[in-house]
Amino acid sequence: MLESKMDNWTYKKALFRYGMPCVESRFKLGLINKEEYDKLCSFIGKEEEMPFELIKEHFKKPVEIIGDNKTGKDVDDYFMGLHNHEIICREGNYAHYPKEFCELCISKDGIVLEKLDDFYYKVGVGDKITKVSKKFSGDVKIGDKVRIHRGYVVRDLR
Amino acid sequence: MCLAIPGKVIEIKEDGSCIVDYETEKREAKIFTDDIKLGDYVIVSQKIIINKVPEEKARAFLNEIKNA
Repeated sequence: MLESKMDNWTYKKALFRYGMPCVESRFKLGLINKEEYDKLCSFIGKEEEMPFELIKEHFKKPVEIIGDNKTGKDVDDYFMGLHNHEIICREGNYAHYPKEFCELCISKDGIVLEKLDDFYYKVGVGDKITKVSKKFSGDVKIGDKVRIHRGYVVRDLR
Repeated sequence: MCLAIPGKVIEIKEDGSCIVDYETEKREAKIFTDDIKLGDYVIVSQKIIINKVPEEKARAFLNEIKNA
């Protein structure tokens, strides 16, 4: 389920939702194996059960920057703040990577426009329309305002 | 590190889709432009090719990120 109240938007859940698309990249690169990837995917919908050691191992950078035992809002603030800033301004880790490989990673807010099938939706972000997946989150409804990261729904912003 | 990973187009199908090879796995993606050919390096988001990347740039990036 998507979270419509910040009460349910926990630190672990937020790290998982923002971080899993990056885990997919590491899987594509062969930096983690299928067994590890499948293990992480087994926590979809039950992120709170994910051991903190696993969180620290796979979402290392945000945990180091945000710190331990913070809130979902702290994670939002990091991704919409420093993370986006570094990509847009080509700073920090993103200073020397070509923009083609970075721009997809900017977290953005949009409106759900259309359901394409059981997994994909069209979301309007500014003057663009993008296809997004709800793989790591839950159902969304047409008209919902959502946060997206790397083509995945992170959360509902109602 | 949050980055988009380029893959290599290894098969183009008649229905306008293609197979993209990431070395560790192969995934299907839809082509919406007419400039994609076999061997091209592309960035895919949600089964859609959103960007074509010069081979040299893609290879350099992949080498760098794998050794980071």
